[in-house]
Amino acid sequence: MRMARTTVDVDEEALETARAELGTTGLSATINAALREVARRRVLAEFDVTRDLDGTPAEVEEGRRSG
Amino acid sequence: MSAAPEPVRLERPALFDTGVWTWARDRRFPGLARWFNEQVATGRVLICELVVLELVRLAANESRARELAARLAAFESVPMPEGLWRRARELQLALAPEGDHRRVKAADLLLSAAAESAAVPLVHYDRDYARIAAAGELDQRWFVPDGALA
Repeated sequence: MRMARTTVDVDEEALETARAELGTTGLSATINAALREVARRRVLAEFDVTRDLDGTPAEVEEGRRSG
Repeated sequence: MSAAPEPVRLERPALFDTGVWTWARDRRFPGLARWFNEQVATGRVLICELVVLELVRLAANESRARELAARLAAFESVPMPEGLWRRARELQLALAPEGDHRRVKAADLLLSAAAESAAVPLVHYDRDYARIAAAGELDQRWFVPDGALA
């Protein structure tokens, strides 16, 4: 993971809300967790089961038979 | 052409059996994929390690497999701790009086135990989960009514 050291003005109220929500301690950990959460939600929002997945119910069954 | 089946109404996140992910791709009923994608976007689709392994197995080639694995990392996951094996064995023996221990597969038992221990519903399209639910505490929900998809 690449990390960049930077100086930013932080909305302290928003930071405290995010810290409580994410269960993080410390400024860097909270900011990074919040950024990752935004990225995670974006992946979920864009997920398309038809486009992103392959396979059929029969193939799932077949995998369990041999498993 | 039969009428489009009505998917289950979920009021909270649920573990989805691997089969449901592929049933949702049924080209006869595009509404199922739309419904599934909406559940994903709103965080209602939970995964676990076993489902990830089964889904990635379906990927057509290496790049599809890597892309899918990266996307699945964004999903919330229910844990599969060591204790699940014990619970899966208990469920298996609870199915034995009806002889169903011979038909219900190891993967079904482990997914049921994972959903049970995380106290989340399990969404499926497979009668075996109804059998498992009758033998334990599993909150099972049919993805669409039994028989709607063949």
